Amino acid sequence: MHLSEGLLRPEILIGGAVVSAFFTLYAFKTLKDEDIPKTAVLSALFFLASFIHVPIGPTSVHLVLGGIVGAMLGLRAFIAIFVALLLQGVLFGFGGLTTLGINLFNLATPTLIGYWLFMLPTHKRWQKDILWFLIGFIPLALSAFLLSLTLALNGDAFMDAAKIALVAHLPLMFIEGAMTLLALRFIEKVAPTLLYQKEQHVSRMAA
Amino acid sequence: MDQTQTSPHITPTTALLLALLYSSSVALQEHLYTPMLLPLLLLGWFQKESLLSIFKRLFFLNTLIAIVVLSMLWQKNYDLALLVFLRSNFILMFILMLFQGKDEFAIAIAMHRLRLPHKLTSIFFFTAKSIFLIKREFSLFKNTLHVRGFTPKTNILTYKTMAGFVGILFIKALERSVLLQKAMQLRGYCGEVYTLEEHQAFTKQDTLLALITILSLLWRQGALI
Repeated sequence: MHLSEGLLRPEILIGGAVVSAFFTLYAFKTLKDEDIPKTAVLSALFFLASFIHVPIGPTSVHLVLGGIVGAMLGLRAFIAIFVALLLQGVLFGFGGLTTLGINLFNLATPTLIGYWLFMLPTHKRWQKDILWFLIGFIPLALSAFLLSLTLALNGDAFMDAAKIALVAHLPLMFIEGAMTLLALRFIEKVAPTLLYQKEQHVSRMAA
Repeated sequence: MDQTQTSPHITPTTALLLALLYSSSVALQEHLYTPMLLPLLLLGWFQKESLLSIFKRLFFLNTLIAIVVLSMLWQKNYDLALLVFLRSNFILMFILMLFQGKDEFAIAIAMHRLRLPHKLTSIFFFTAKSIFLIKREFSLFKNTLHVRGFTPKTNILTYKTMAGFVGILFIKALERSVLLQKAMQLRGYCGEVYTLEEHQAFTKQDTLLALITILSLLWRQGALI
């Protein structure tokens, strides 16, 4: 999911950094002190998601959890993912400092769709299940698409790698969707107030 | 929690600044020069006891790079393949050796020392603390599954178990965020987190590495590619 250091052209690195900086600075400007703890703990969860390996056939994939983090944070997900990516970049070498901007754009922008999906009112069980699956599926699918697009825009020499990267993410999209659905169902069962807070927010906004 | 003491050579603040300088300079190069290896050699000497684990990690980080490089070799684009491979690995090695033995708290302290906005440094501190706590829960959960004889497989039981774990992590994280917010209010949080400055004294190795890194980026002789 992370683009490594040294792969991309300066135009893409700078472009990604500028767009991500705009969103992140705007998110910081609107961040209130009371939102800092929630942003920080969800940043920690995003950081640690790469340690949660889910078996798939003879191999395993790690979760991303961008959709669910986006669902809980909205635009503040940019800050949470920025912090997590910076820590992953310097401590583990996943991504890096020069690719931080483009990686942040590729991973954080699709999470806004997770937030939008989470905020949609649902009345029936099946509607909720489909939406919760999509909260995991769509942001990851979009992130994979953006990653491949970034590689494709980097030059003809990167086209094959772009195709391989997109295909390699296909099983992960379904795993992420299923895990998000099951995790949200678990939260609904064990701590429903955490999800109802959002529903109350929807009602308030509608009123 | 503060692993800066286990890696006394380079302070996190210097590490962060030099990582930014070296990676942004090398990533934008169309040609690489032999002097760019100098900081890697110096760091290798500083981290000689951890070199094996660093190279192991570097090997796994080369997955995407390998896909890209192999696809370029397939297209007979040898020069670009070599440039991308060397550029990526130079930067990765520099960062891995620079931050070897450092943790999230070291980065948070570095952010604070760099006098970045208080909101940002506060989030780094709270994220570091949350990572520390969630990691502990993570290993507890793994141990519990191990004791119960759970073996992960490609089946619905495994996915439900893993999803339950993710759910627990989210519930605990969100509950912790509420507690943290209350703790912040009780302690009179006014937008800033304070640290002990003595952790951050610059070392001779900081100066040496900074000089070598700057020199290596300015000295354009002995082209590698």
